[in-house]
Amino acid sequence: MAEILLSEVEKYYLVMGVGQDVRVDGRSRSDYRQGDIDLNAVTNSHGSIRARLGETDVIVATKVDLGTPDPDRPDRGTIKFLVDCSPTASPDFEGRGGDELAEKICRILSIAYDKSGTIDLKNLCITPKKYCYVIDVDILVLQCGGNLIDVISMAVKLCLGICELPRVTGLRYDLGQGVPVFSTDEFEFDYLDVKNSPVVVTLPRVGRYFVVDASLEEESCSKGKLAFGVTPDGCVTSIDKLGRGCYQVKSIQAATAMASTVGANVNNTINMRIDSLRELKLRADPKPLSMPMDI
Amino acid sequence: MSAGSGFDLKIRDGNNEKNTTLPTAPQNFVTPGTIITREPGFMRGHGTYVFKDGSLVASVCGTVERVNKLVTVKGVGGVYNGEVGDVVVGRIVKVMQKRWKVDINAPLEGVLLLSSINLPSGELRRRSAEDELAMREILKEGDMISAEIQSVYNDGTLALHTRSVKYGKLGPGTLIKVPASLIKRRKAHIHNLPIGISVILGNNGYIWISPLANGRMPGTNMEQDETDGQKPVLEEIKITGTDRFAVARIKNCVAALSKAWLPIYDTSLMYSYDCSMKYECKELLKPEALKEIGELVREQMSTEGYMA
Repeated sequence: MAEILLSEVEKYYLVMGVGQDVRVDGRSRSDYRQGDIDLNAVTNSHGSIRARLGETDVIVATKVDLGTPDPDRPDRGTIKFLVDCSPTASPDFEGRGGDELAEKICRILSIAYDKSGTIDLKNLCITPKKYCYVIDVDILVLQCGGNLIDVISMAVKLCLGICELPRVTGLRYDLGQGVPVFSTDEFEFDYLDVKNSPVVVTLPRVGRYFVVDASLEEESCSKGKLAFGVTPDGCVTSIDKLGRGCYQVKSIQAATAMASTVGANVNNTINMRIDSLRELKLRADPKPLSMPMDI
Repeated sequence: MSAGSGFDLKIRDGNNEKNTTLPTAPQNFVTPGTIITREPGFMRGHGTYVFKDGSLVASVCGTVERVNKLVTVKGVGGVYNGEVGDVVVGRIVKVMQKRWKVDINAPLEGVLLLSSINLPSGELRRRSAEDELAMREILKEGDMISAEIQSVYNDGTLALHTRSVKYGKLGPGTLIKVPASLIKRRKAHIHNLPIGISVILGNNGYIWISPLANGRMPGTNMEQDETDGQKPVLEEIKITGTDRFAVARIKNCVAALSKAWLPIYDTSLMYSYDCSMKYECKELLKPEALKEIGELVREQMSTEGYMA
């Protein structure tokens, strides 16, 4: 990720501070920075969220489409992720520099939502083998201020939580094929059940300790990171190692325990925010996009 | 306190965010493109240009100042343009032949010549070829320094020097960047605050906060007769938790002042430090806390007449 040039003395001050549990801005090792959410950042989508945590700023937008299911999994819908690391976020992302990171993040998200079994994709199926919902999730990184993957995972969960799936009211028979007809009523839709989907907690190792929500400076002083996917009840669904570094089994166990407690807390807060956002959206003027009638 | 309990994501409501405490714009405030005068006979200074019809137009946001026939616009924001005598905090970015290039938040990198520093051994002698080869041992890429601007080259490049005991390589501490226009030119820029923390308010907007005296790495850039041949060792410098909290608090106070667009100097910093004592250090990261401190300091300073 974006690395900045730091002097030996700054690194010494930072690393020793983490050891004494007093980080550069006074936080302890398990404290998060301040953040906020903006609803409706993007108008021509089915739902969008702009999330900020410290200096990190991302926008996530979802678009719901009609599609055919994967032949290997004919009774499930699909969620596709696309990450764009904009060059404005960091000089490292100029040209194709951001592509490697973008791919990595896409992979982490796909594993969290596809394979971990915490979201039931069968709910997205309309007609097995023929029609299903395809949700395209687009993520744009506006500013990289440290802890990028965590902020993206939080914003994605919020965005999927407020995503409105239009209800199918029937089938229209066209040359013998049954094509789903969607309701034109603005208030007839279903929400996706994302309560159990995981949130990523990245723990870089600074000195001999792991820190939560690292800033850019702290990431530049870290030797490798461990990214954990954590559900609201503290269950760890995935572990990813990023960067260079090796860990002893004891360290990984300690990090897993830390991620589990912190992640459960974060995930529950996100679930509460999803409820508030759904209410807020209903009270505001709903302007959903119309669904395409044919594929 | 359970882990991660400080986590909170607020849903922003656009209506609640209207800023009701904006100060009124001063007289003669102009924006780029505003015609200052159509009358001929005025000399254009910084921040102005002559339009094709002969009128004088402002090119920056700021206040118009007139001295006899010279009209200038003193910019309110914008990039740092150094002047001789400014104290700056910079980061070494390149080691070249007989000089270092320094990032000082200016349009061009500053230059620190090998002849503009005090040799570590404290001797006064001509720099030799061996000195040139040993430059990286004195200052290498990434190192932080405090320096004074010696001169300005024709192209605007700033030449720095550290020929004084109070300047030189900086020791353990932390950097915070603010807009350069918030740091006014004062008599002293290196402050050793009564709370045991030193703050260097660089004119270029880089602020160095450190628990060491003058922010400096001990054992470097010493007076001629103070050298005892010992090289400073980083690992021997111990910093207590109390000092770290003080540094963090000052850092958050600087962020509060910067957010409220208040000038930053030792008095405003100490005011904000006192105001911040009712919060825990990490609570200062909350936007409400920052806003409150900004308002309290603004009030205190306007009653004491500092806002002139």
